[in-house]
Amino acid sequence: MSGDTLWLDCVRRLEAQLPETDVNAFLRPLHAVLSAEQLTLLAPNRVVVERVRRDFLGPIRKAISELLPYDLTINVTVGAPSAVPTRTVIAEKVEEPPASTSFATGRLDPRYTLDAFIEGKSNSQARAAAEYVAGAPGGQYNPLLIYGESGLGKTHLMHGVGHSILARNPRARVVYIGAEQWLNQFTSAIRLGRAEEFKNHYRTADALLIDDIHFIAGKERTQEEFFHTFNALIETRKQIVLTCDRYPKELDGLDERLKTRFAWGLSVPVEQPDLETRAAILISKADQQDLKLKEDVALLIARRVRSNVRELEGALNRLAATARLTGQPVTVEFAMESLRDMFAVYDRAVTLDNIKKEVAGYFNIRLNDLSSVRRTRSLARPRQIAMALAKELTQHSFTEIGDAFGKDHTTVLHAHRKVAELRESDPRVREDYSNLLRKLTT
Amino acid sequence: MHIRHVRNELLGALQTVVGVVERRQTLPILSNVFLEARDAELVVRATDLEIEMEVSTPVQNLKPGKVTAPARKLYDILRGLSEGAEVSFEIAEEGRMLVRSGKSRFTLATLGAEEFPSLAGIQADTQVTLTHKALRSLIERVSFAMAQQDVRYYLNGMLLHIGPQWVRAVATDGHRLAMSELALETGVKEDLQIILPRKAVLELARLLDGGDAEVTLSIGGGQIQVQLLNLRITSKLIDGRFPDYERVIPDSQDRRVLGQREKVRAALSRAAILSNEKFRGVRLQLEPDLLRIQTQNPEREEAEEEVEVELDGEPMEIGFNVTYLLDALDAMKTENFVLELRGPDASGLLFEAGESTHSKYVVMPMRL
Amino acid sequence: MKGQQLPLAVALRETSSFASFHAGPNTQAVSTLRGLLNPGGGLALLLHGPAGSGKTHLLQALGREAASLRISHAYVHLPSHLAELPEALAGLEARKLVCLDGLDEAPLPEAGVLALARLIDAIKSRGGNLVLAARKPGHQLQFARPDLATRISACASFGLRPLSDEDRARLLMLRAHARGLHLPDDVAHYLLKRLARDIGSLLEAVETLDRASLSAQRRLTIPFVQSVLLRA
Repeated sequence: MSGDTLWLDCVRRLEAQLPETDVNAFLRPLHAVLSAEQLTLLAPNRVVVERVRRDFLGPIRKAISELLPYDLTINVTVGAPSAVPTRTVIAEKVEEPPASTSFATGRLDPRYTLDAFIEGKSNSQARAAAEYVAGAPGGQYNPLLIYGESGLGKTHLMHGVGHSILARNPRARVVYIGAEQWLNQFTSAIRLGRAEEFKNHYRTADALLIDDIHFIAGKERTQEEFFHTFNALIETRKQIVLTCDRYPKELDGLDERLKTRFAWGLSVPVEQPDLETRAAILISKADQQDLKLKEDVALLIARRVRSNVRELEGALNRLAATARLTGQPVTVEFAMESLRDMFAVYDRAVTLDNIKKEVAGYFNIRLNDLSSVRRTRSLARPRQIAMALAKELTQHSFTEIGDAFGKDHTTVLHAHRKVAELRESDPRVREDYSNLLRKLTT
Repeated sequence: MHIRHVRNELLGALQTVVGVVERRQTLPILSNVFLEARDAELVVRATDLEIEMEVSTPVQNLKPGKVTAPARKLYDILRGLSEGAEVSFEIAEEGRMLVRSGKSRFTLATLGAEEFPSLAGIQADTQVTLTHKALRSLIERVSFAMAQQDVRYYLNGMLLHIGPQWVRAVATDGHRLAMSELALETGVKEDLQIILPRKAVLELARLLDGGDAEVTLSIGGGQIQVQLLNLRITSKLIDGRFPDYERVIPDSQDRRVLGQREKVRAALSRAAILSNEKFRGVRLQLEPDLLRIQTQNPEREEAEEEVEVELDGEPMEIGFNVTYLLDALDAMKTENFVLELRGPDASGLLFEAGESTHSKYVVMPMRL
Repeated sequence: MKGQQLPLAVALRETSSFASFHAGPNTQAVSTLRGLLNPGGGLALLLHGPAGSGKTHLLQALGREAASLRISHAYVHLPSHLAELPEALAGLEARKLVCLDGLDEAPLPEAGVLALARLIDAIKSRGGNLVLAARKPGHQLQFARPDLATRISACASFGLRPLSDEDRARLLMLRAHARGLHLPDDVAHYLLKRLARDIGSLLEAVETLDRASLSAQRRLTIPFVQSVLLRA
C-alpha cells in the first residue's frame, strides 16, 4: 500500500469524527510517505505541522491502528512530496525542516519577459530604460527605479530585466526579492547572529531586483543596511533595479541619503495604459494562454475595464475559463454574455444612491421623501422597501444604511424584518420588491 | 412447453419463490412467475425488480419451452391439489397454459417469457464463503433491529461489513442497534460495506438451514447473489452509506449489571403488559443487587417487578422501550447477560456474559 | 408513562461535496471550479458571494475531490490565522491547488496582506491554481495594501448569485437526501414559507428535522414538520 492510499483511508475515518473544516484545512492536504515502520506526513508549513501534532495525532494513531495490523511510528514534518525522496526521509528521520543555508529569494516569473511586455504611450519610457539596462547592466542607469501604481506592470519590467541579464550571462547571480521579505530576513539574520551571511548573500549579487522598495520607508535600521548594500553593489558596478509605488522624492520616511542615491540613477514612471495599449495587453496575455482573442473582443473589454492591467487580466481569465469550459469561440457576444456581471459592476455598481433613485422612481415619489420624517403609509412603505433592498444588495451595515436615510439602525432593522414579512403575506409588496430587485441587478 | 411432475415438488418450488411476488404490482408481468422447461428441469423464477429468486427442480420434460403464468393462482391451485398427485403444465395455445391433474383442468392466462425482467448476470468483485449456520446466526442476531419503513433508505436493511479477518452484520432503526461479528478469513484486502435490503435479509433467514454446508456470497455491481443448492437469490443492494456504527457502540461505561437472562426477560415481559401500548416505556431502578422494573399505563394501572442482579457502580434510574430490551435479550443465547450504562441520557450496551462477546446490542433510553 | 425516545447518533453526517451542492444559477462558477481538477493550471479564481452562499462548501468540495485525485492542494481559512498569516501561507506555492477562504471576513494585518500578495505571485509563476473566496466582489475589497487588491482583481471572478425560492427548495431536498432523508416537494416549500430564508437557517432546520424524525420514526410530512418547528 502506498502512503497516500493509506492516508486517504485514514482521512475517511477521521472525517466521521472531526469537524469537516479541520479535516480540510489540516489533514486532507497532507501527503504521506510510508515505510516499514513509519508513516511520514508532509505538511506545507510549520503552522500545519504544529496543529496536527497538537490536535490530531491521537485520532490519527487510532485510525491507523484500525487500518493496519501492525504499529507505525507517525511523524509529521514540513515537506513537499516530490522534493523529498522516500528513502532518505526515512533513513534520516527528518523531524524538522532542514535549516536553509542561504536566504530564500523569489523566482522570476517565466512569463514576464521584456519581449512579452506590451508597450504603449503610458510605459514606453520605462520599457526603453529597462531594455537599456538589460543590455548594459551596471552602466549609467544604476539604480533603475520604476514607479507607479500597483497593477501597471512594474514587476513585469523588473523581471524582464532579470531574464535578459540571465539570457546574456546564464551564470549571473540575479537576486529578486520583495522589500518586505528582505526586511524580514534582515531582522531575523540579526536575531540569529547571521548578519554577515546576510550581507554577503546580497552584496555578492550580480543584479539585485527589489520589489516595492517603499516598504523600507520608516524602517531606519533596514535603510541603513540597504544603504550599505546599495553602495557596495554600485561601487562594483552591479545593477540594481527597484520598484516603488510613487516617485521616490515623495516617499515619506525614506532616508535623504537614499533619495539622493536613487537620483543618481534613473527613475521612470509607468502610467495607466490607454485604450489601444489595454487592448494590446489583452491580446498578448490571451496569446500566452493559447486563447485567440480578436481585436473587437479585446477592445470591448478594454473599453469597459479601465482601472489597471490586473483587472484586465481578471476579465480575460474569466473569459478564458468559460471559453475553455464551453468550447465556444470567443466572439463579442460570447464575451458580453460571460462577462455580463463583471461589466455590470463597472457600469453601475449598486449603491445606496442607486437604490434610492430607483425606488423613488418606481413609486413616483421625491428622493427627499425617502429620508423624510413623514410617516404616511404611501411614503413609509417605499422607504422600508428601499432600506430592505439596501441590506440585501449592498454590504452596508444597518447603521450605515440608517445614516443614508436619516434614521437610526433599529428603524432599518425593523424595515428589513417588516419587508421580509410583507413579502410573504402581501403579494403587492412581493411584486414590487422583486421588480426593484431585478431593475437594480440586471 | 410441457412438463409433468408430482404436486409436492412443484408446490415446493413455487413456495420458495412466491414470497417475492408483491400482491400489488405496477407491472402486470411481475405478478407472474417465470417457468422454463430445459433439459430435465423446470426453472421457476420470480422477481419484484429488487430481488429475484430462481429455483430449479427435476421434472419430466415432454417439450422444452418457457412462459410466465400468474404466480398466486398457480400456487393456490397446486396447494389445493391432493398430496402426491401428478401435475402437468402445458402451453395449449397462444397466451394460455393448461394445468392438469387427475380430473382437474385449469387454463391460465400467460404473458410472454421474453418480457420477464431479470436482474442481469452479476459481475462479482468479491466472493465470501461461509457456512449456512454462521450466516443464519449473523442474520438472526441482528435482523430484528432493522427499521421497517424508515425514510432513511439505509436503515431499512442490514449492513454486512466484510473485513479481512471478520464479517459483521449490523442493523439499526435509529433507536437501537445490533451488531454481530463472525471471525473469518474472508480473503478481502480492503474493508467492504454493503447494505442488504430488508426483504432479502428476511428471505435469506427463511431459506438458510442451520447446517455446516457452505454458502457463497457474490457481491458486485450493486448486487449480491447467494447460491443455495438449487436456489439462487439475487438482490440489489441499497445504494447508500451506512452510518458509522462503531461510533455508536459505547467503549466503556461506568455501571455494569450482571443478570440472569431468563429471569430478567420474564420480569420485563410481565411488566410490559401494563406499559403504555404505544410508547412501551419501562423504568429501571438499579440498586446494589437489585433491579426494580416499573411500568404504568394511561389507565393508571401499574406493575412492579424486582429481580436479583449484580450491580457494579452507582445506583441509577433509567427508562427504556421495553420491546427493545426484550428483543436484545431474546437474541442472546447465554444464561447470563451484561447491561452497561453511563447515565439516564446515554445509551445502554447489552451483551452475553462470558468469554465470547460476538454480539452487541445498543439501546437508547427514553425520557420518562 | 409516556416518554420521549432518544435517538442513536446514526444520522449520516453531511459532507461538503459537489454532489451535495445545489448550483442553481451558479452552474458556471461550479463547473469552472471543477475544471481546476483537470490537468493544466495557472488559473486564479475569485469566488464571491454573501455569507451562506456556499463558498466554503465549494472550497471543501474542491479539496475533497483534489485529495481523491491525488492532486496536491491546500486549504487555509485566513481569519483563523490572523496572527500568523505569513507562516500559515508559507510553502503553499509548492501545491498545485491552493484554496484561501474568508478573504474579507476579518481585516488582514499588513504582514498577512503582503504575504498573501507574494503567495499569489509565486503560485502564478509556478503555474499553480488558486481559488480565493470573499463575501464582496473584487472591486469592493479593501486591504491594508493596494498591492493585494490589484492582484485579486487579476483573478477570474465569479459571483455566487442568490438562489430563487425554487432553487432553495431543491437545495433543501438535496441536503435532506444527502442525509438519507426524503423531503417531499410540498414540505420543502412549506419550510421556505415558514422559516427565515437564509441558507444557514434552512440547513439548520433540516438538521433539526433529521433528528426529530429519527426520534419519532416519522416521515417528513407537513403536520410532522409543523409539530417539530412549533416545539423548537
